[in-house]
Amino acid sequence: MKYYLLPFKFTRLGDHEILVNEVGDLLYVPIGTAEQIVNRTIEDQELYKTLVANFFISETRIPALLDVYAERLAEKKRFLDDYTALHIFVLTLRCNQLCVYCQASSQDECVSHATMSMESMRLAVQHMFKSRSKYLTMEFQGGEPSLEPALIRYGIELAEQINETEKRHLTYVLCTNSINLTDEVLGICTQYNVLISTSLDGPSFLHNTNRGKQDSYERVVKGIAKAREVLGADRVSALMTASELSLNYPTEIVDEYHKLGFTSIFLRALNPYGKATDNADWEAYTDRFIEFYKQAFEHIIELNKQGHVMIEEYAAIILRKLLTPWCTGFVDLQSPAGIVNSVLIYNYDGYMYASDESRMLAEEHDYTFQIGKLSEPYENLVYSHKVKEWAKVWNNETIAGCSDCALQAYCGADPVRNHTTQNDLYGFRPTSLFCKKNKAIIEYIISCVVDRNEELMPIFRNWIR
Amino acid sequence: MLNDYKLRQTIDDETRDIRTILYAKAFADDENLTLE
Repeated sequence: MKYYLLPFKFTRLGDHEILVNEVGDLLYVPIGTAEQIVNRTIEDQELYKTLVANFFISETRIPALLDVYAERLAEKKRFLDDYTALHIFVLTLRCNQLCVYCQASSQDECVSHATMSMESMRLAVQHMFKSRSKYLTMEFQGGEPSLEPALIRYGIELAEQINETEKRHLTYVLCTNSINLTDEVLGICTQYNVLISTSLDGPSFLHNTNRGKQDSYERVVKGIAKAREVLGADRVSALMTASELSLNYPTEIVDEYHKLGFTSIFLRALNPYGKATDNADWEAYTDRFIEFYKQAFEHIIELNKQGHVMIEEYAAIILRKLLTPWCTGFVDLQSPAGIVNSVLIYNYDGYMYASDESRMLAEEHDYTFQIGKLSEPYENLVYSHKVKEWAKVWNNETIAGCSDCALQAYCGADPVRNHTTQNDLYGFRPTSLFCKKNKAIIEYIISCVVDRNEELMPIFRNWIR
Repeated sequence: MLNDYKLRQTIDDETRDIRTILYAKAFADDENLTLE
């Protein structure tokens, strides 16, 4: 049999093999198929036609539709065209909670030295507009950013003023614990259409334990209700972070989100930054998180079967990568990595950082991912020698352990995580917990698509609309 | 019978040129690329 191989990857999944081509199209085939393809011993004519049609093999040295295939590949990396779209402004480290897993090294709300100056905000907004992206998201983080309403207003009004000539599509997001949503803060949100992204860890006992406060849950729920009333329900979303304690309560957490009227949940693992590094055993945590994820996911599926809308956002991102021709805007699962390419951080200390995690590292006196002072020209910062060095390790297409992984198209590269956990920007995949967690979850979602297709695809189609 | 490592190496060896052309067509400015 005469044909030419096209690039593809393969791995075992249960009692089958999955073959994945360069744009993430997946075939679920009997074990041994990859070897048949390489050895030119394919006997099944239907399989042969499927392999040709899906760019796994070609009957000519250059496939007739190579331009179409190249365009599909470009579409999968379209997020690169516009460069940085997400701009995170860390207004302050001041916070009114004492979260046990705080990754941002937040400080007491009374401290005075950990807040961004108006001059830094001015420089940061100017840098944001240097990105050529037509879509700019200005996200306010902390600490607790709602403690700095004057800074929020100044930043937004400056952006609006510059945008009179720039004409970009601006989106504003306030990441808040919803404890301090004063009339002043909600007034700014109303005036400038600011989205609220809040955090809720689950039922009262769990949320209050995680937050280190007796009344946090009640205040957050009250804050969410107030924000929904003023801004509209669709302007308020919530995120959870799974502490070690949370891992015991997958169904209770999902039920809490459902009870409060949320139609989506992002099952998010702890990251090894700030206070979260106190976690004694990350390997055990990762194993437990994977089980937690599967249990919560199955409970979410049950809710959907009962007619309720509840989307698991992490799965929805994987499903979009798996089932649609488009790229996603999710910076944690990108190659080239999200750092600099898709996200920049303007920190309260007057410096630019490569990612949210990068500025968290700086609080532990690790300045590896500090790009430079906001007072420096934009070009000197984002095209610096430091950033060029990171570029050598931010593609999973080229790093060992990822370059031949069948799940590469659905995953991402994370030099910051590699540096933090393995003291090496390049990283070592066999012992990487980032790799272990993502592989387990992506394989689980693929198995849902291929093994439970009739049962789950109607639900998944709703999730990726 | 080839083990996975050998299979991956064979796929990589046989597809290096076409992969280069595919990426060049997708991301480079000059699309006039052909195999020698």
